[in-house]
Amino acid sequence: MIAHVAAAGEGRGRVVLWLGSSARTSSAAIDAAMLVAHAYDSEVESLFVEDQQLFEFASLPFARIISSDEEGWRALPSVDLEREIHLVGAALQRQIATTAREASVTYRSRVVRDDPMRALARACSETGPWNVVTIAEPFGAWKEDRLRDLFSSVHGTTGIVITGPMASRIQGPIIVVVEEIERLSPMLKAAERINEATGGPVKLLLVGDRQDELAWLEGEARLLFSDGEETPFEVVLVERGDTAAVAETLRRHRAGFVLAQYGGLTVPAEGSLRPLACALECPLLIVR
Amino acid sequence: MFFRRSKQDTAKPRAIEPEEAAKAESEPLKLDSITPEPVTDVTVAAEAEKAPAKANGTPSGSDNAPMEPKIHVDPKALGFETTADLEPEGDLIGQERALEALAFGAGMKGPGYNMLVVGPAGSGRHTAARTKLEATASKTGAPPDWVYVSSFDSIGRYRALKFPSGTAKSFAEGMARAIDRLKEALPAAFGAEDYELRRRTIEEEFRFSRADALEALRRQVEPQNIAVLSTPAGIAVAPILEGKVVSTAVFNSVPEQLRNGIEAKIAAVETEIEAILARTPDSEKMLSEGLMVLNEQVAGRQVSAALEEVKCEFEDISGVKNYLKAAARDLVRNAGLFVSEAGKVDEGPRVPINTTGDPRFARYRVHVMAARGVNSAAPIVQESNPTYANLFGRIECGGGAESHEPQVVRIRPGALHRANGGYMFLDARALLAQTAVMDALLRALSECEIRFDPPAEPFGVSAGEVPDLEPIALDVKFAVFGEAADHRQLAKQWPDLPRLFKVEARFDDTIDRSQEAVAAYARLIAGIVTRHSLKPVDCGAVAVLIDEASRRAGGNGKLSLEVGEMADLCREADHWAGSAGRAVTSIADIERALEQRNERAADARGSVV
Repeated sequence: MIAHVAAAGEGRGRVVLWLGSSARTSSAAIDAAMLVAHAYDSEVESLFVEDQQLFEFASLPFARIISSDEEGWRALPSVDLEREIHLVGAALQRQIATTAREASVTYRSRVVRDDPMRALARACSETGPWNVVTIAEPFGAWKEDRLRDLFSSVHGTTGIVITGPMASRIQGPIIVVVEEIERLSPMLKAAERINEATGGPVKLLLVGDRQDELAWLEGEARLLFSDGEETPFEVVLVERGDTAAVAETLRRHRAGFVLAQYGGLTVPAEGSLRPLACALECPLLIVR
Repeated sequence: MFFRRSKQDTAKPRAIEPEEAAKAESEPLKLDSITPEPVTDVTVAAEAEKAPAKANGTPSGSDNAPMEPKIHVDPKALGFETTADLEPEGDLIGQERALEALAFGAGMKGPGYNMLVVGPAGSGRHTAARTKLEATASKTGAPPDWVYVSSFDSIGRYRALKFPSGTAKSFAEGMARAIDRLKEALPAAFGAEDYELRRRTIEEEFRFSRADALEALRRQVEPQNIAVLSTPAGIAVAPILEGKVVSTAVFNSVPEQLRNGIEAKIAAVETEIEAILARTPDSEKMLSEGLMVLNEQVAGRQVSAALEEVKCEFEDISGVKNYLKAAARDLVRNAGLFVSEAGKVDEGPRVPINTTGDPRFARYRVHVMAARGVNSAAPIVQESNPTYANLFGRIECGGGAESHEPQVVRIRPGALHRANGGYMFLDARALLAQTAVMDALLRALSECEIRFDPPAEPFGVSAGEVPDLEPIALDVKFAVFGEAADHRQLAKQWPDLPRLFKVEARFDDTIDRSQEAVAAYARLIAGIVTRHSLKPVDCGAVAVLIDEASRRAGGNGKLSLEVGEMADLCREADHWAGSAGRAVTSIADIERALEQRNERAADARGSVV
């Protein structure tokens, strides 16, 4: 966990900004990457992955592509593909470099031609002890099972930041979605660390699918705050698989950043993340 | 007793008007006309000498040998010492027929009873007409107000709306306030997060609909070892094996039949993808419609709120409800005008645009053409320079920065609008100099409407682009003033004139010199003194003035009714009395005034020569 590592004083972590094969990026994702890097005094490395499979495809005799602007299909020679991918990559990296400069964040860029998961796993294993992978493409442009692939294939990642198509801001309350009492303290600490960079308030959202469990969680949370300053929190009862209530609560609070655990009710390991991601107006940091 | 001759009689003869000359020629000189009856004709030199002394205690002012004024009126017979003893007469005497005609013309309802006021300048015709008409106007009550508003149609027409008297300005101000309110409210509404979220939701729905379809296709074909790939350049379809794109070497190693089968499958998937993308134009149309509906909802709420106040106050007035509906529709459609173009959503908050002076916002202006006070009477308007613009108004146009079409910035009322519901005074000679305007004026009178159809295009507007203004009902009683010759010329040029000007008020320039007339003339002079706040005039001076009036009338039993000239004489004599330190104007002062006049007239003639 980021909070655990940060508390230990280890600053060797990194934010890996994954630039996919599409030219479509979310400015909120890029801002989120800079924010996390700034909060943890770390660097951002953009990783532009030239998907090897595309080059394999381009070498096929019948390789052709179609774009929404053009009528009909056209051939895609390898040299054209290479040039186009190179142009997209260069443009993206220029954009990110400018953002990093403005945010006073150390920035590095890398271009690799490989399988995306393998490239990410390699990048995250090179530097530790923590890496946060920020996906530049807004959710929806990439396959939904990619998130599962990331958590399962990229062992060096501590958390993944995603943005939905509605994401437009990183200013606002930092909302920590807690479903297990053990995670409350470390996630809250992570939120407070990020809060130092944004200046927004930190709020707690307790989520459960059973009223009694939620009540117990709430009681434990109050005990935790009884010694010191209480963080405002709200309780949301959700049905398993239905994140609409969580999404609505987050929208109502105009969250600027959300932290949630992977594999819970809010971000299930199985099932669709789309309803939540598409409603979010801010980045979502999914912690392992 | 001998009369003191005025210097005027001996030094320079008075210029005789042509009509007087003609009259003199036609009428042989009669001795008894020199001594008009029935005034007591007493020539008493001693009394004449004493008269000025009695009036002011000082001799007459000339340093030369005193000139005996030729007084045909016995000051004593007048029966007063000074005009302070008299009840002042009105502005006129002896014009009963003219006044009767004016009263008739003023009171006659219906078209065609406009008035021709004939008489020489200085006959008091203007003053008499105004006094007569003011009396009628005060009983008439305030006429309605009128405004022009845009009809918001594609032709750019302007509608005329009639308002109860005294309310048009309030309506115009209410609309202006509503527009001002929208200057703040619309940018705020379109900059609000709620709007942004809804807009992006609609945009994403459009994007998602295509993405969803492609994702569904991807899931469908993946089990068949076909992958739908995203590349920077677009979408591709590739054969896969165990989740990986098949390399060329592997593909070529596959039997030809299988290769053909794979290519056929790929071709089928490509066809499906084409169909999905082909649906995009419809989706774009739906996106555009969705955004338009959203914008109309957001703008509509703000526009309704902004117009609520003026709607509550004025919607019962005919035409206003429909106007406000049209205005609301137009405001919603053009809500973007109120938001700065330099400031898209992603770049920061929208800033309100400066609408003041911007021709694009002139379409929402209410142009007040006639506005009265609530308790005012019918108007009386005098237009001394009857150009088309001065009578019918003018339109000021301006072009928007991005528009090549002129926009109506302001519609200014003319005298006809100001006089509507009341009366208008025009000068015959001025009309004769404006032939085109006279044609337009007579058309307006015939059709009883003010129609804007200028002989020349408004500035900044090319031919054919004159804005279309709905005609306004014309309800004005006209009085055209002029001398007989001018009116004859008018009638000659416009033979239809008598049909529209059925009333003629003819002001005589002379009156029979009866005792009654003399007495009335004395009261008239008293009235002049009062109106102009002059020193009282003694009876001797009044006698001289009456005599002067007689002389101006040709001296044949008439008195001149050029009241204006009399008034000027009184004022000038008053000045000389003041210079001499006299409290009462005397013969000497009248004499001096006459003398000065003659000298000025002689100088003028000399300079002309």
